[in-house]
Amino acid sequence: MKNFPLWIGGALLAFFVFVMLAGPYMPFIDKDLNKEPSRWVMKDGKEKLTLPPYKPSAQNWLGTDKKGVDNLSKLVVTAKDTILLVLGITAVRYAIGIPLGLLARKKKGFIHQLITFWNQMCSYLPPVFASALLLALPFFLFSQQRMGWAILILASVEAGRVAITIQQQTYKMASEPYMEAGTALGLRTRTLTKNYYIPILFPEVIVNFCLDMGKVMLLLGQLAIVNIFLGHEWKEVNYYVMEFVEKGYNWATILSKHRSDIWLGKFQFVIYPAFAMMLLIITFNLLGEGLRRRFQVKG
Amino acid sequence: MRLQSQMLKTTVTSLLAFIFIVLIVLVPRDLDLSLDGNLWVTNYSFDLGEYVNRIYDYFAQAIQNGTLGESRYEGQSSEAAAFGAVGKSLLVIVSALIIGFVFGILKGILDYKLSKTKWNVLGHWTTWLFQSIPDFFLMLIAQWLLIKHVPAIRYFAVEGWEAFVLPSLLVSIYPVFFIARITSASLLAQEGKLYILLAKAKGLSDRKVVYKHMLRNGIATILTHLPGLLVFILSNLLVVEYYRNYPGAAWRLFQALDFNTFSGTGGYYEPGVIIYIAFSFMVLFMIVQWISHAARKYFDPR
Repeated sequence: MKNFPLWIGGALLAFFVFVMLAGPYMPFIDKDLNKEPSRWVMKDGKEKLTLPPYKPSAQNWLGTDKKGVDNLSKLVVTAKDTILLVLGITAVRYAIGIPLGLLARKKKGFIHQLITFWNQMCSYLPPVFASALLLALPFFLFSQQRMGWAILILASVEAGRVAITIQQQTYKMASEPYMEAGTALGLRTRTLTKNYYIPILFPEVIVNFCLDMGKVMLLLGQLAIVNIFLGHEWKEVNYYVMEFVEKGYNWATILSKHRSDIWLGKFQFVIYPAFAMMLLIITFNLLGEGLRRRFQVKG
Repeated sequence: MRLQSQMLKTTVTSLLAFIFIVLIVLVPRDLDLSLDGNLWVTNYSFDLGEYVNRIYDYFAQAIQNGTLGESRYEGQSSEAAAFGAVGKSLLVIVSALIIGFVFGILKGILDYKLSKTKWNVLGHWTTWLFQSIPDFFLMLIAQWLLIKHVPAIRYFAVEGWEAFVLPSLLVSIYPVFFIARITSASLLAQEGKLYILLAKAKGLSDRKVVYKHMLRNGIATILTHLPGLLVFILSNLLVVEYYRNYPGAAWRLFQALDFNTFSGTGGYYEPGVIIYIAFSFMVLFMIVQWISHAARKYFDPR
């Protein structure tokens, strides 16, 4: 069977893994993100002194930013942090959602009420509004563990939806003959979970996990547009001036740094991180679609 | 009776969600700043008693004055600010809902019909691709195209036809493909069902089978996703209004948050405006859910 999405998605994922691991060591990548305040350029047969931003050239494939840092290098060097962050948030989301969904598989009891309410509440505001409201609370802003809290908030905003999906799947399974057989044999809940629920749920979970990675990346991008960072520290940036300075360096922070360019009609700096994010989202959506076909999960 | 209890449940959940948001909005945001040598330090501590008092005072004052306080602009109440902003976006939201729903179904039918021909790539794959492109990138490209290549259209217009048509179209791009995907999936799921075979055996034309039988049966499924559609529209609205610097509901909500990178929450934090805008969103969400419930009951009484 031809499964183009899986092949293309897999190839793109391999590309991203390569960029994450080996990208910074490529010869055309400036691993240390050095600034280049001025440069001599040959123009009309004469050498001329030019200031950044430099236009795309053989030396800087995507040009440089206003400080002379290579744009492509910035994207490549930060790819690892970005993808790990997305992976981390999605993993936490599933670590919360799957146990809750399994616990509520009988569609009654406290946990069932909890996840139903959680899901409905979070589906009423778009995730970007909900996470912005929570992330801007002073407690989370000044917390020492800001990054941990931020990951938890972004994960739990949609953990209810994950739990509901798992719950529906297990609920449907419970009425299948093989589950009844397992129960009739007197298998313990632990054995049932290990040998029945998890192997059957696995394809569906892995498909949804891929799609959720795309959603998390989208959310990070939207938060970057409104200038809310995940990990930051309150530092003195000038005499008696304190400011939140982002600790990590990822595509979202690159995007938020240049977001005011949007109103000036300058797109070259915003487009690169946004395009990288889009490519990552497409990769995970392709993978999800491909795995869905591979496992024949109905979507 | 089931319809009523469903509606009641929706209403209660929405109200609870709204109360939760009000509680978050009213969390004290004043910072204790002090100089430690030459360095500003702040120790933010959350005190439950103070928090409860603050909520109590806020509502006591609101009831006494009949308003949730002034907005950041002198002489303008929170109500006027919030509802003015919502009013500016309401037309866009409603037209995006209608465009998304109508054109989404049409695109879904087109996808379904194309899937039977060699043009399948144009159908399902375009839908899939547009769903995968993040809204902030899509809007960026649209803005770049319009500003650089179609200068006749005033992209940043706050009045005139552009102020309404541009955001409505931009906001409804994603919803169209969202509904299209659901429509074509529900049409595909009905293939081979007995009533379709019977309708075909009676010699009905393909068009009649699709529109009278399949769509009529699938519309209930499509309608369940109407509230989800609204959520997508609101989140797209934020990006569009932010890029266009247009003072609509989503933009005003973020202005009222007054988030800055120096102290987190600035001095112009407007809880009243946030509460009213969140309230308007909740009412909108509730209405859409009611419509979705009622229409489902009407189209699919089973």
